[in-house]
Amino acid sequence: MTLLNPAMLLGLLAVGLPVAIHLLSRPRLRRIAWAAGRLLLKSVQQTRRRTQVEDKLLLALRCLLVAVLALLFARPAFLTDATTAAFGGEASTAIILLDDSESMGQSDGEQIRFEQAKAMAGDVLDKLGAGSTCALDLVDDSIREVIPKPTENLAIVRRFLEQAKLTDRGTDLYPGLKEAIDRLKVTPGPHKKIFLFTDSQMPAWQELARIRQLQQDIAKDIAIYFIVVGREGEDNVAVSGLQTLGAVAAVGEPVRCSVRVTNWGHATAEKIPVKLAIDGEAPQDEGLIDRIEPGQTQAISLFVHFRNAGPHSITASIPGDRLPADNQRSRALDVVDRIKALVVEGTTSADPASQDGFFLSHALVPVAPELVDSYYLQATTGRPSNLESPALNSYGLIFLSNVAQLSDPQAQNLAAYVKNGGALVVFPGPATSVNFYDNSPAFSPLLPATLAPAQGPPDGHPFLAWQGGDYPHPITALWNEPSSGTLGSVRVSRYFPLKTKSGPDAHASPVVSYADGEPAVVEQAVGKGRVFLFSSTATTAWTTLPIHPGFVPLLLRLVSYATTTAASSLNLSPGQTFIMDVDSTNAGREVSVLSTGEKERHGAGSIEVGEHATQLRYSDTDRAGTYTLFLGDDKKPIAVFAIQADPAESNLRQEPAADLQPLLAATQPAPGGESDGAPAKKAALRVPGAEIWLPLAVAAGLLALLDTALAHRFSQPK
Amino acid sequence: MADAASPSYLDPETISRGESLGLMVRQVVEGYRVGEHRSLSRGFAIEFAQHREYTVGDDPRHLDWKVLGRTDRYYIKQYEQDTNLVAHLLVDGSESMNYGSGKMTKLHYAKSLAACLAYFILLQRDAVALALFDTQTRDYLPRTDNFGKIHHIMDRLAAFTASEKTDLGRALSDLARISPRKGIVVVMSDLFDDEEGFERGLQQLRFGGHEVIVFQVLDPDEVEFPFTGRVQFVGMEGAPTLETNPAEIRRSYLAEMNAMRQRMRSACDRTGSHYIFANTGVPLAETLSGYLVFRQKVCAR
Repeated sequence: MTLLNPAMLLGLLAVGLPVAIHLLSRPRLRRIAWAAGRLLLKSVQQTRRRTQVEDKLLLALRCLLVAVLALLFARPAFLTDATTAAFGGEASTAIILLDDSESMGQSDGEQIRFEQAKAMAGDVLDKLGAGSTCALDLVDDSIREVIPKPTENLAIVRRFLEQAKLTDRGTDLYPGLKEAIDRLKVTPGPHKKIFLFTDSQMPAWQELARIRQLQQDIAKDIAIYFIVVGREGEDNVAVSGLQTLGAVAAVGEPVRCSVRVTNWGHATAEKIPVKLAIDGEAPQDEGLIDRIEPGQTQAISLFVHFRNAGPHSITASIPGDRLPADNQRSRALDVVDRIKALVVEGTTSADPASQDGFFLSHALVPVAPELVDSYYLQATTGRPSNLESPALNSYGLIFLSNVAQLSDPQAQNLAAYVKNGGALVVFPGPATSVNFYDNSPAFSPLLPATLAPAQGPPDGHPFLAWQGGDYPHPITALWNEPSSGTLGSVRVSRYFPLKTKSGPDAHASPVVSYADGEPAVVEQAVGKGRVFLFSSTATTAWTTLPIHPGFVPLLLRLVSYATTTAASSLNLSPGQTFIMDVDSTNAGREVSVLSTGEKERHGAGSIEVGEHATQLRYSDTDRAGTYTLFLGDDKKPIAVFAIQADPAESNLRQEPAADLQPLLAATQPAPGGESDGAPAKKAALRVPGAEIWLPLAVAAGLLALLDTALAHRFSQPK
Repeated sequence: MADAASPSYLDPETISRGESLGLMVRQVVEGYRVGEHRSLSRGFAIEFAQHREYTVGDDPRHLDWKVLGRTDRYYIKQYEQDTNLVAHLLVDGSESMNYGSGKMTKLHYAKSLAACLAYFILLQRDAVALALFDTQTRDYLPRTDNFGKIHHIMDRLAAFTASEKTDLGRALSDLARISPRKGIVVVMSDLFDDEEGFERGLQQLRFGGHEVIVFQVLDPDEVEFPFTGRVQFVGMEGAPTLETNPAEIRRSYLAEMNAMRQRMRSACDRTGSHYIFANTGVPLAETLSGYLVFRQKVCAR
């Protein structure tokens, strides 16, 4: 038996009403000093017992009446066999939608939800009437038509159903449902039905209103059966985030990684060991999270060292549970051996401390002199003429400090450098030509903002200060934590007001602003590279920034951000295609892939020659983890990328059934299929059949009559 | 002396209706002064009653010389002697008598009844004694036939306030013990007391030769139990406090009340006492005059 309108069971709360009414309606007590107390006592003793029994009987009757009414409005119905109810043994035109999102991998100890759903879908196929046709789609946050058109060959449907594989994709049922409905609308056939098997995870219903509307719109033509597998309230602890923090991932340098672990269950998770490994090898570091409250996330910092440069992956893992997919999370990154930085000084000075690049070159290499050569950042100072060198691409970053202007070749060469993936950081200064910066055909388009003539702070203010908090950019986000200090103590006595460029091609974003909201540092992507524009100097001439404690970490975070932005293309969501430009000499070469959990490579197509570039493309990315791509028989990978599932998929909480009514049809395990807590190996569908409102209505009426009669009788003087 | 502030227990209507009726003893009483009432003391004064043989010790002056002369036998002449009435008015002054739903409590009603009776009795030159009691006799006014003492009786009635429990049987027993002379005992009480003790007291009084009249004074509330809603009855005289819905127990209560009244009436009947039900909702004049009319008829027989 099930309830078609279980929300009405809330009416059971009204059972308390008779009690409340009884208590509230008790008349105000009158006190009377009474002489014939002993006579009264006899009477009371004689009648009290009977009165109490009568009162309790009436109260019980009224509570029962309210409960029956609540049950009546909840519309209880007998469960009948779904196929009988849905098809009635007649020919139907059906589409089976199977949720294959990551959460369907949750196991009940014996079988994962996805396999349960497949078994139930198989049950539907078994009982389809003669002449029925059926199609099969896999739905998650999109739809994949396994068998697009309903076919009479149900054996094929069954075979594809059995072969269907789980993915680590997210869930949004609306697009898949809409697609299936649209397809079924134009498919000729009788009695059109859609069976959607899902675990009813909350993200699946993110477009619930549209799904309701969809069902209402097609209710006359197509019946939709939502069948829920899995149970509410299952525990799950997941690795919900993995990021590298701070400096560039360089050979020999410790890379600090932040691992976020979320407890999606209903009980507190304690003593959770977290391990961090490189390239699937033994863990290099591990830590312990003492306690995570339900619904909360804890982060832990772990460190790894890379022994060689090139594409690598890091993987954070926690002990296994019933949803293995989210017990580890990988991230791909390119490890560098050395990063060369060119600091271009606009002016010269005999005093080293007055040189335009003095603070920059020292801040970029913040190590003792004897360690400078082994440090991964190598800073070189130069003049604008150095920008004419064809070997600019050897520099990871180029800094311009107080450069007045550039010649056309220099500007053009610099623009090409940026568009090819280089990073440019511009510090203007007293020598800067605003006209050149704003109007140079080659140089100006690189900048994310135009410069107004230099000016001092507003009248009455000795200086301008940087904003004291709420830093929006990843580079400055570190200072959102009070323990990191603040950039609000950076003082600026003179600066070039920046006006952020707008337009369809402009993607400027502020890195940090002044306290009054005016941008202080702006950045934007240009081609494959990135340009940062400061509003004041890299020396102490106009600002205290170079001697501020945050200058070194700010520069190092900027270097990391500027040189690893390409990492975003290495870390994708399930289903996204990995694309990487490769040397044209590799065109046509076979590519093989080794993904997480696999022991041997398997073929992954070949290098394609596109219209503009020669590219390596790999699109079979439904499962989360690390994918290592090889060219031919090479032992050294050409690329490593990672697929990261949506952390929300780890939240196994189901949308409350009451919120889904009347969309949701009930589903029950097969009769006798569940014993000793073990789930049914083969589930059977049961959906609501005949409602039993009539007996309940009669019972309610009889109860009301009985109550009235008894109340009348009991109210007679005794 | 009557206090000016003390309530007047002499109801003018009652007095005017009762004066003409007087109070006739139903049986012979033993007076101490010649009055309207037959005395048990066979005297030698007024009305011949009978002869009896002379025995040693008889006063020879009462010998019937004529009979002696004719028959040579010694007979003593006996006469019925009219004597004055001594009425003992017993007012229940227990806490339960404080109840009153109208303008008059039961105690006030009983006091008024006692005052009126005293007035009538003194008016016909009979004697009145007043006793106010609860667990014991609290106030006792010895008998008096001086009409001028009526105010004194009023004062004593007015000064008394009820607060204790009742022990009616004991009060009646005490009276029987201290008043050997036969008379009328008028008891005014709600009779919410030990029934056996009450009957035993009546028996003792009757054994002493007293005529006993019992006024059971009850309030209309006690007789009709008209309450509605939820009521907490705070018991007087140590009775428990009860919270109940009166409508639910009315029938049962009224049955208990009627049974109790019937038992009291039966006890009176068994002891040869006269039971009168006095409802404080009924004007005192009506109650008293009704009784006096009834009494006059009985005495006339």
